[in-house]
Amino acid sequence: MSAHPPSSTADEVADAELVARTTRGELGAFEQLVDRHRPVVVRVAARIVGTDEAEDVSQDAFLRAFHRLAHFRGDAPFRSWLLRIAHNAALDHLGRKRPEPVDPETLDAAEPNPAREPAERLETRERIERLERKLRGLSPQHRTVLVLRDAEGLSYEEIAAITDAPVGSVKGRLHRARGEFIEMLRANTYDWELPE
Amino acid sequence: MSDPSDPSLEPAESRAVELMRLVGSQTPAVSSRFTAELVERARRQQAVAVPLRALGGLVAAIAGALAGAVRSGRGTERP
Repeated sequence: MSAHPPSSTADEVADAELVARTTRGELGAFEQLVDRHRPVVVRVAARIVGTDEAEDVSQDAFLRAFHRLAHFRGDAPFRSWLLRIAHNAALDHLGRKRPEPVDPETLDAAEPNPAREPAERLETRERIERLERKLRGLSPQHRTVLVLRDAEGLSYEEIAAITDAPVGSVKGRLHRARGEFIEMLRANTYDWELPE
Repeated sequence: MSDPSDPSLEPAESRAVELMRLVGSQTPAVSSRFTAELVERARRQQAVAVPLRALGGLVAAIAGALAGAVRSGRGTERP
C-alpha cells in the first residue's frame, strides 16, 4: 500500500465539477482544486527539483493548469493531467538552471538541526533528508518514475500518461532507476539495511 | 502499485521501495499563503487575459471583414 490513496471515482467526479465551475469563472472552485491537490504536487515537485524550489515550481504548475483548464477533456483523471503539467514545469525549471553538482562527500552528510525534536522523529527526518540527497544523484527521468511509482504509488498507466512515455518504457525505466538507487545506497557508510 | 512484499521483487528492491515510501510519507511545508497568493495571481492574470483575448477576437473579426470587403470589391470591378 502507498502512503497516499489513489484517486477514486468520487474524487474524479468532484474534480470534474470543480474544473467546470472554475472555467465558468468561479475562482473559489479553483481554490478548492488547489487545496485538494497541493500536497501531491508539492511532494512530486520537491523530489524532482529539491525542497527549496518546490513551492515556486508548484505555483507555476497550478497557474499553467489554470490557464489550460478549458482544454481538460476529462478522459484521464484530473490528478494525472495536473501532475503531467507539474512534471513538465519541474523539468523546465531544471532545464533553466545550471546542473547542480552532486558531491559524493555530501550525499551522506546530515545537516545539523538545532531544533529539539523527539529522537525517533528526528532520526526519521534525517533518514528522509539523506534519501532525498541520494535521489538528487539520479537523472530527472529516473527520479521521476521512482517517485511517482514507489513514493506516490501511482499505476504504470498513470505514470505513462504523466511522463508521456509508453507503459513498457516506464517499467524498464523503473527497473533501471531502482537498480541505480540501490547501488547508490550501497555505496556509502550509512546502514540502509539492504539485503544482498 | 509497488508493494514491498511483492514476491516478484528482489529483497534489495523491496527495501528500496520501503525507503521510497518513507520519502513519500513526508510533504514539504509551504507558505501558509500558498493558495491565497496563487488564486490572487490567477485573478490578476485572468483580468489581463480576458480583455486581451476579446481584443484579439475583435482584431481578427475586423481583419476578416476587411479581407472580405477587398475580395468582393475586386470581384465587382469592371474589366
